[in-house]
Amino acid sequence: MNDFFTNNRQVIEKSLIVILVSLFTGFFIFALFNQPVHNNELQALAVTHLDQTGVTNIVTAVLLNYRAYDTLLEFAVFLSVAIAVLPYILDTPVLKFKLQEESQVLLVAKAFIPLTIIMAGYLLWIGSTKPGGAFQAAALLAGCLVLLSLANVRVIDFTKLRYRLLMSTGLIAFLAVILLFNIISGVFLRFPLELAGISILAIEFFATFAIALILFLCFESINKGHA
Amino acid sequence: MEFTQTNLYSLCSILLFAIGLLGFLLNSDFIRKLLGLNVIGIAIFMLLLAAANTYPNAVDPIPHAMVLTGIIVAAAGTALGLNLASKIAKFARLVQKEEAAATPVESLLDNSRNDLQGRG
Amino acid sequence: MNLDLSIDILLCVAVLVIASSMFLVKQSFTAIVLFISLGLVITLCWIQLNAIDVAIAEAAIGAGLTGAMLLAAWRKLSTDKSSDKSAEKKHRGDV
Repeated sequence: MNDFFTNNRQVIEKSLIVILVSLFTGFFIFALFNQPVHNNELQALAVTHLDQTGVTNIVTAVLLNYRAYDTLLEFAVFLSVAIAVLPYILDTPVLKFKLQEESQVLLVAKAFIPLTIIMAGYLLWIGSTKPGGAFQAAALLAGCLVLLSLANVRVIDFTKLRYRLLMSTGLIAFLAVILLFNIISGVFLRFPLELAGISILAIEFFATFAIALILFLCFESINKGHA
Repeated sequence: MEFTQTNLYSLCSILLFAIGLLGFLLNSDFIRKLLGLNVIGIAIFMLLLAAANTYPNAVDPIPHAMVLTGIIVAAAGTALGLNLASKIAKFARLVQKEEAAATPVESLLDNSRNDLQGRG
Repeated sequence: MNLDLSIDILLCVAVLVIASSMFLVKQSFTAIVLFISLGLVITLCWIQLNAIDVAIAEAAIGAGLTGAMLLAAWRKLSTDKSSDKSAEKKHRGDV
């Protein structure tokens, strides 16, 4: 009996996992059939107060005005991820910058990067009225940097202080705006009506560069880190 | 319960969650484990967005904002996990090299320890 | 049943098939490529769910950047394996 368990431990573990997961799935499907209908109170609230947020795209309004503390904490989480992956890139030997003229990736990069930067700027600008915003623009910029990194062009040296400062500007700008309004009006995390639009745009502008750099750092630490 | 778009996507997200959880628990290599975690994340995003789409004329924007932050945090978490995985792989290689040079008794001990680390 | 919902059913079936085949294939490389294609199909799902903002971010981050990170890590882990294959085989045999 004991031998049977030791010999087939893998099979028993796997079948136990499968049984438990299917039990969970059955429970979730049961819960799905018995859940109350989603009521749209929050959506109605968000739409009726949209003229007080300074933007007309409702998702941007939720991200940077209604639930701004959420986004603030997200920037902090993101900065800590950057600090966590930074050691992986620091112990690599610094390679000499070498431009390969014939590289096909570089040709693709030359064609696509200007277009992508224009697209990112457009997405950032349009974020207050139409779908778009800081995160999408940051993803496009990070894509540009990844393309350059694949073409062996070293644009960013993460050991320099200025790039580290640029990585933290998202959080710093957010905190600065919040503290400014806190000192002026005495309320925490509430933008005054006439300055809301411009302050949201400023936060998004800095956050774009910060998130783009951190995403690129994540890629670079895997790609170029210790082999 | 009538058959609407929300219910269809909720059902799909539950099945996707089960697939991701099975993939996460039953595979032993790191890349499959991280793929499983990402699939679980996608399933949760799908559940949130399906709930937001209950009334297609008045789409709830709050889950959209939550999912937007979630996608970026999931990407950052994947990057951290992959870094740790390559660190562990490097460490396992070092241990194996030492093990090849060591005496047989020591190598047995090292092997059991290495087995624990390699499986993750 | 109108035409709109049939598109949704097609997308859901595609998502489930891609996700399950991701864990059934032998090679990690195939699994990563399937994950990238899963991200693109999910983007279509989110356009169906009226979430255009999320669809843009998912196409850029979920499919693009995460895929690039996974491929970079795959390259590194697979060079680890090929450099000492015998030790790896012994290790596999243990498990």
